[in-house]
Amino acid sequence: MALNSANPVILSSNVLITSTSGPTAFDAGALTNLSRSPIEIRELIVTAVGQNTGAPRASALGLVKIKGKFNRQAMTSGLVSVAALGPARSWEGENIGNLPQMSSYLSGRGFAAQVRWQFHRPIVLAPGAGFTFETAMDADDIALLASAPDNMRVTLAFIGRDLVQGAEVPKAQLVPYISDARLNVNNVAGTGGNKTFLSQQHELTNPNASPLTVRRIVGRRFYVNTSAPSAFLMVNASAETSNYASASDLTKELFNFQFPDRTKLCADRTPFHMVFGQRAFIEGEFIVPPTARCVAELFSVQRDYTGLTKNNEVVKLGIVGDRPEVV
Amino acid sequence: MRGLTMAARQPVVLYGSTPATVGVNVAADISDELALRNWSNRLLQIRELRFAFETATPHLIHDPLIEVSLRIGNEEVTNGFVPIGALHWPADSRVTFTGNSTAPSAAMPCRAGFALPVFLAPGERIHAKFRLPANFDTSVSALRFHAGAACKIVEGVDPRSGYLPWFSGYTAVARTVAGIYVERSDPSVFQNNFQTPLVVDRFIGNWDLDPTRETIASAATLDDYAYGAKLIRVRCEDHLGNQLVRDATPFGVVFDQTRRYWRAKTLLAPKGFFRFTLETDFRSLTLFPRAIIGMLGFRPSSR
Repeated sequence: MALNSANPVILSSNVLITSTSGPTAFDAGALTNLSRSPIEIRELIVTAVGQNTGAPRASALGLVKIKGKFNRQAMTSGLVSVAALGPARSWEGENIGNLPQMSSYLSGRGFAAQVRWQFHRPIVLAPGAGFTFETAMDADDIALLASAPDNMRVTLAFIGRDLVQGAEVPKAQLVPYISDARLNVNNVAGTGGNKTFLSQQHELTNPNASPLTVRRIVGRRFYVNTSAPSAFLMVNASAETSNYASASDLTKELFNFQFPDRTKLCADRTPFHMVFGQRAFIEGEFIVPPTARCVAELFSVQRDYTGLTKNNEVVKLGIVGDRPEVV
Repeated sequence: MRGLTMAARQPVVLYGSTPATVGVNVAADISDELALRNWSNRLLQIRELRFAFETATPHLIHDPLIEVSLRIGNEEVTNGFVPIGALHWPADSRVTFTGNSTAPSAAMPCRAGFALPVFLAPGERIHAKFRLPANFDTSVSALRFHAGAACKIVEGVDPRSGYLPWFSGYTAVARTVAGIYVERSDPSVFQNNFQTPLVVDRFIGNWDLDPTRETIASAATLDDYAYGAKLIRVRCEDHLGNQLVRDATPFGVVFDQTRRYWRAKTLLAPKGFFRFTLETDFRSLTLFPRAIIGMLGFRPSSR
């Protein structure tokens, strides 16, 4: 049967990574348009699956990072957390196979995490053009864990459709782009006192020559269990896991975000989960000029961890948008 | 902060919170001048309202029965006090009103998204008042309400082209004895009190998990889909006698079991109304969940 011009297409590749493997490249050939007609790509789905089964282990969503290019144009500001790529479908969906309280009936299963990066405008891949991507686990996050996380198989899937042969490929396209930030909200145990954590100079920035139009801000909060079994779970405001006591309430994690023009997202510090809601993102558009940056601020109120088994949490943020391709 | 010039389509989050006294019915207002106010000098489009409740001690919650009364600017947008369960639909059912029996607890922010444009003029404010249900967990030592709005700046839009939401809600009668019950919502609950047709976007269906504060294990049992699927059945008709749901249909079928809403997308004429009939079979139960039904409509804004 002849293929018609609107046939759906998936370009995918997967690699196995370990906590020590460092950046590992995906098969560039598998992410290249090998047909004779252009392909229109609408979204990227990143899936990470743990290789072991049994007790809950570190969440792939929290730990996996990716870095990639399209037409030699960077799509990421270095290795970025996949947790910053796109909205949560649901809190439950983020944590499949990971919840301690679910372990009794999930015993024997591994875990998986999946996040979708939906592009504002499709990318048109000319015949022979493709993506070059690599992936790694976040070494800073691994350092917080009591034991090394499981090996993970990370799969990229670019979802799109065939265009007719000879269809025009735009000379300069909008390149999807993400810059992320990682706030390690540590050192607040015991008598650590209240602390403010700011994103760093190289984070939430636009290092490109063209302006970045941000379409959404993504924000997820993870807790880190510093004793075995290792855990790195996305938490909601009610902090489902019972041993996350006293870190759970809304008013202990206050957030604000400064745009490049120094205006702010919130009039005052606002509970993190009231900013990002159930689906871990907020929509809207703003421009980040070349070399400009945004600043995220997290104010963490001192809490008492006495008797608790964890004292770290990590916030992952992303500004997700697109920029004109520089030809 | 107020009066800042912000870029077009830039996101803005409005927020306010207030403490509340537990154990008695209170009407709490958010008193901070900046709270829930459009502090930019641009027109805002409200995308989603969010509510959350926080306690300093563990509790088994009645959050869906906490009532809220809302105004946008000077316009009432709730039909009196409406239970939160009537204006909230979750991203998935597990984040509905989740409490925690061992940790200080905060429900995940509830959310009510707007399918039609709802605007907030510069300086204008969302007024939120909360009221605790009579049977709220009296062991809770402290409680704080949170309200927020996820917005974005819009430009080149006539504010009068926007809509105002209209929330109304019905809470089933509290039952204490096993049996079969039939009850109907009053016509005034889901009525269009305005001179213009009401665009009814959706009906929302939740239920209170644990009205008698049993153990968390019981609450987990009550959270079973079986309650929606088997024990509460729903009929619905309008003021003309048209049957929207003719035969008694399981609650969890009328209101999607995960999303907890029915996207009706219909028009309700001025003075028209919907009536819901609940047929409940609680013969096999010792705990009795209470169904909560809400309606989200929109009317043209003339502001």
